[in-house]
Amino acid sequence: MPSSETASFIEFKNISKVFDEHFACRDISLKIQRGTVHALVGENGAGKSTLMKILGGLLPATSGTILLSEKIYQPTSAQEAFQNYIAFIHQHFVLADNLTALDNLVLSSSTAGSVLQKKPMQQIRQKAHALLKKFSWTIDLDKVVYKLSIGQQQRLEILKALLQSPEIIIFDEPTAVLTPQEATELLHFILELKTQGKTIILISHKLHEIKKVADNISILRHGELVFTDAANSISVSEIAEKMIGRRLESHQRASGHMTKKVIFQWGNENISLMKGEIFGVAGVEGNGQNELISKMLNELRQQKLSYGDISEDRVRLSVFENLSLTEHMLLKHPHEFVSNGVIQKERLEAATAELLARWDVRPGVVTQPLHELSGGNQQKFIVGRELWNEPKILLAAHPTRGVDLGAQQKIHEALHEYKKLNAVFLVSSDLDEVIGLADRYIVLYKNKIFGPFQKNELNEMQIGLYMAGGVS
Amino acid sequence: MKKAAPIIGLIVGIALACLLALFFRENPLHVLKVLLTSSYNSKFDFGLTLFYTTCLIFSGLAFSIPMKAGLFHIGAEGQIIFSAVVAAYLGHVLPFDTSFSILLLCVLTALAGFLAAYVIALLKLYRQAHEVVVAIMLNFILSAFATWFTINRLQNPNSQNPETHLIQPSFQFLNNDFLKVYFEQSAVSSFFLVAILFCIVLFILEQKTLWGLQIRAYGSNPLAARRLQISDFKILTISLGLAGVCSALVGLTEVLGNTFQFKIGFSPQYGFLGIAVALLARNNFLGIIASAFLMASLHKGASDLDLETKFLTRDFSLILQAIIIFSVASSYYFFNYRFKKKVKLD
Amino acid sequence: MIDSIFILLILSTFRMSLPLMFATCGGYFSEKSGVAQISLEAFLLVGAFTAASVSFFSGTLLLGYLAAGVMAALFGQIFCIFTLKLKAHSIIVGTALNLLVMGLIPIVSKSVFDSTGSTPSINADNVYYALPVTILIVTITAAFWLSNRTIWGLQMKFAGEKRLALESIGVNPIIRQWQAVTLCAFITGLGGAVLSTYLSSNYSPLMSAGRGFIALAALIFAGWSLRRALLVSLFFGFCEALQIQLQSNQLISSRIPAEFIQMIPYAATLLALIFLRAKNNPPAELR
Repeated sequence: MPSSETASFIEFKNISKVFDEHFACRDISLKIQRGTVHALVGENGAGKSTLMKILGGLLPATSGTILLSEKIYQPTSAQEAFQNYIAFIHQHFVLADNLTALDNLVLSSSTAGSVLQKKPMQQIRQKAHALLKKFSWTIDLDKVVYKLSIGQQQRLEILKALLQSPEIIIFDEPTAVLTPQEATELLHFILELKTQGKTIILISHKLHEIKKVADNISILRHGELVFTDAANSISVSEIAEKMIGRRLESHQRASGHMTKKVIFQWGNENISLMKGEIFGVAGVEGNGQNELISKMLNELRQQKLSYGDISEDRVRLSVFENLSLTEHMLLKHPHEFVSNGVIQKERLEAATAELLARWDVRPGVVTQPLHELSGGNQQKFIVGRELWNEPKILLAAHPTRGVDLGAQQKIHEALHEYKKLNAVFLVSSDLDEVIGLADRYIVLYKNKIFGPFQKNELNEMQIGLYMAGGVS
Repeated sequence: MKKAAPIIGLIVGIALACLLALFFRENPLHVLKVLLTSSYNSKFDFGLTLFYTTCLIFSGLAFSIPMKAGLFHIGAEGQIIFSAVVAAYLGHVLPFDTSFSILLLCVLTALAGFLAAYVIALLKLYRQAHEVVVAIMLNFILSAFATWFTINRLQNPNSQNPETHLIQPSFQFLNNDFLKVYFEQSAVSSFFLVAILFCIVLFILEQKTLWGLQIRAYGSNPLAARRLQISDFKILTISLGLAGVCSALVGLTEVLGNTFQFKIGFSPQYGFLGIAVALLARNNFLGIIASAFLMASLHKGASDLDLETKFLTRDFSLILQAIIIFSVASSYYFFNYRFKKKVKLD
Repeated sequence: MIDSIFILLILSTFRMSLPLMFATCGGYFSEKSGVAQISLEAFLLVGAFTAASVSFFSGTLLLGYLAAGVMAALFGQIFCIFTLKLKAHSIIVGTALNLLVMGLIPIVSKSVFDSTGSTPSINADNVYYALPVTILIVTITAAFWLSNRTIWGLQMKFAGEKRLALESIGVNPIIRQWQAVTLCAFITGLGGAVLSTYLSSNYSPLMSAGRGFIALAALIFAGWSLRRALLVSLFFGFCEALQIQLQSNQLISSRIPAEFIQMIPYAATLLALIFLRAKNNPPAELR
């Protein structure tokens, strides 16, 4: 049965997926060899996750077929993918936070049948311990999931997949939440899985990582496959160019507008912002960023400084479902558009329309509900709205999360432009973003603040040590 | 089609309820006829329907306003009973000199309704208690209090039934009320006009003022509202407070406009019927006028079933309401069911 | 004298806690599987009426209990169809189901017993006191075993905590919720049977008197833990027992009006909400 060297293990044939007349994937044909690491890269919305969801049985393809070991494979559920030894490790963990790690493992190996049987606790525990030992990981299986660190949660998620001894493992942006050290470790782990004969598909946008581990690379752009070949046949900058369809400008920006004029002094935290700087906060998510942000907001409100607020979680904290763009504008700047208790509709609509045009928010219809826009357009609108009244301080938390590269570039430019006037407080778990933009930064680990450090004071690995609590 | 969903739900609901009558050996067509026509038999009957409409508009508003802020307010029943007993008490003891006294009575009663509703807001604000649980407990407590107060402090000596004294004649909306006179001394009163006015004013406030927008924003996403410094305190105070005032207006409609006293058990669960009214109107303040009228006609019809049929009692009204809520709530599924327009691509 | 009052109070506490414990146990399954449940009241009433009628006609209490559970479970199906199949909001459906039951019982009662009020008394010879306690013990044991030891229990909890995890192993969370709500209705129906056949000997209108809501409050307090919720319902049972003792006490009932004594369970719930901060970790996907 094992196929010859050249025959492919997974083959996508003319796969298309259409949502509301919009192609998420268009006519994609792709071959993946057994026992290789195959990287799938592309911008947000390029269709890579959609393609993998089709493979993972989470979405049906509109047209086209998938061959698995040269047999037609048409999954209708995640379970069917599972039975074909395909495991999907999601970017957002599929774990129940209020239950123990062991319960999560037990669930993943249960099925719809014979549910009145006792939970096979001991059996799963032994299997899990065997795997943990093999990779020399430690996870307390009796701990409730929310008490585990993010890194441990990810290992639990991987453990969950490995318990089923899958042949194909799909990793969706696995290093996005890790420290550089953890990320390196994970990449080694992926290579180890490869030596055990597993086939790995890695979805990522971190091109240097991909170059390190991938045997083959496929690049998607706007739902179409634009490149698929061996990884050593293409350079990082060529990948980037193919991803966005044009040359990407360098991220490194010169600092130099910084003055010594302190415009915000935060006594309790020993943090001060100076006019003309971007002050960065690096660190793995969940190390106290949200607490720091809310304390910062309180302080700003108490000091009655005007501030813009790009929240850390757009959907949860900034978007009101069913409210229009004008209404979102009004909620942020009530005083400017209300006189004698009555909303000044014309003025409001004109200002919103101007904002949409200036920030290239599409489609530019002011009465459209914000939640109907794409992530990138939502974020551009919010950045524009927060900067509209030129506040003293801009709080930007994960400002480019979940947006396409075009919007990301626009937002980075905006932050950089804006700091010339005032100061930016940038919180991001994307280390590249902090290193690229911030003039000074601190590192958060378990609510403790390290720094501030000057730009270029530390290298990436040194910052990683702080992020992992390796320096006390 | 989406807008028609509740209306089709309503029609299906009425049809189902009539079919249910078959179970109890009644002719469904006869039931339907009674339901649909009993409101229009006479001016007096129509006046009664308008009275129910008034009560249902207010109780519909009492559910609908907090709903805009995302709160399930099912405490109207207790507030209605409580404010009715307060109105009966004030109508009995307040000295009447000018029409200012009527205003004072209304304001004080509204305040009583406000405070009763405000308990829910306070517990939610400071104890994170679930509004549904608090409201239900308050319903029991307030109605027990009203019973005690009626029997022990305000019992009408001329009656065997548990009810209060009549309020002073000058507080009664009787011959000085042109609506009541026109409808042959039926239960309707000028409060009907107040109810319509309330709906219109609330509709305008909701659309044109910042508060209206802030309440809707809070209802859509409370976390995001807090982030924009829209205070929980303000939103809960306005929305639940107004709901309490609307509940109090049901009590006033009954006590000043209809029986001129508080009778234990006067409310046929107005508080809960209001949920059906609000649901049918899709929480639109103007739509509430129409849906309250529809539900009032049905309620009037259902209470006549007691006389007109052998087995059906006035409890049939509850069944009718329930079935209508079921069918309207699920009609959205049939007419509105599509996968979310925007499927997240990544 | 004091001793006997004390013993009476304890015994009465256990008696009054019985229906609450059933309702709490039932509510646990529904809420834990992610379905907000305010129809416990309806299930109690259906159970009470069915048990009283079936026991009256058959002369067997056990049959009455069984019928109560089954009939409540049937009404649970109405709840499931509207919330789980037709995606209506559970609180709206719950409110409507409560109204439906409150309207339906008097009409059924009128066509069966020709009275909209109480049903006729069950023959007292049949009343076997150990029965409800036995059923409660079996129910609670089964509930703990089911929710903590079996795969079904785990999957049921995942329906309330992380649906996606359940979907990815090919289990439809709606099916687990459907089963949980049916079980909830069945158990709560048994509690209704206790009301009409053990705490009294017939069905009287609205005899559940808000116990369904009190059970829900108990669950919320206890932070959705079954063990703690049962203890809280014991406390509410105590409040009810206290109320009965106070009412039957000449000295007190002559000074405090009956209506205020009747408020005790509800006021206790409110006071508990005010003074005891609830342990707040609802199932992540409760709606």
